Amino acid sequence: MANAESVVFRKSYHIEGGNFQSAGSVSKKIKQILKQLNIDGEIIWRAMIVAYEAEMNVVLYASEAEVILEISPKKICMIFKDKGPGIPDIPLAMTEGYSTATREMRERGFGAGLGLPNIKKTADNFDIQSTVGSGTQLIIDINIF
Amino acid sequence: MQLHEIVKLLGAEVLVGAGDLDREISAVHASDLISHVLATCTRGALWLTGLLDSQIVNTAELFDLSAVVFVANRRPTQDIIEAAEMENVPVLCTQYTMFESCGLLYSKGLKPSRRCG
Repeated sequence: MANAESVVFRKSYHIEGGNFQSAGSVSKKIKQILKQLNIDGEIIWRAMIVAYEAEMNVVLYASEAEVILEISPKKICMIFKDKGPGIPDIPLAMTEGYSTATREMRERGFGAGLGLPNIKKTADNFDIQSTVGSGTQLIIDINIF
Repeated sequence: MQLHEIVKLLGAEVLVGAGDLDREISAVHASDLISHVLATCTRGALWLTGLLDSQIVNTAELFDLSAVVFVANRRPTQDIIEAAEMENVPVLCTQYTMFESCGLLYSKGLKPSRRCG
């Protein structure tokens, strides 16, 4: 999270788990804001990788989530706090190719077990905390400079 | 290579984006997995797929992909076409299979969409 005094933009969003109709809409809103702030296209592109991966994780696995977007002059910070089953083994979930996706998720083109590793690879800072039976929180930073 | 040359090469039908065929394309991603697009695709790539899902257009728009080509005569549903019109994502449809489409594009010098590092 950025220091409170350095945050120039802060907004929160809600993601509904299981709703494919609205899936991606939060990432789109975030993209629109980053474009309005004239942030470099390459940085927006990286922010979209992590935002969409995290948003789809909520849609696929959780019941709902709150997303907090904080933009400071130095970085874009996104916090995804979901209510859901949680992740029992985080190192395993961070392994490329490991997935608990259902057949339906795979038929929709998701669930290859690449999401969390891709977020970690793309982000400048990444933190994951999870409580089984309660939910998962991701804190993701993308540096602007 | 510009998108209109790809239309010709693949004998493709332009379902959305007839006014955007001057887009320059140098890399191609071929996959039915959105997960793979998110993990490997580069900006501006052309996406060949047989997957018909409402998230196709979101994915293409969010990741600045140049266009989506549905292979093997897979016809996108009306909601995909409407979403692509709204998001300004060109959509093509070709009778060539994924294998044939990739071969044709590769033979003309297009490169795989691949991230460094």
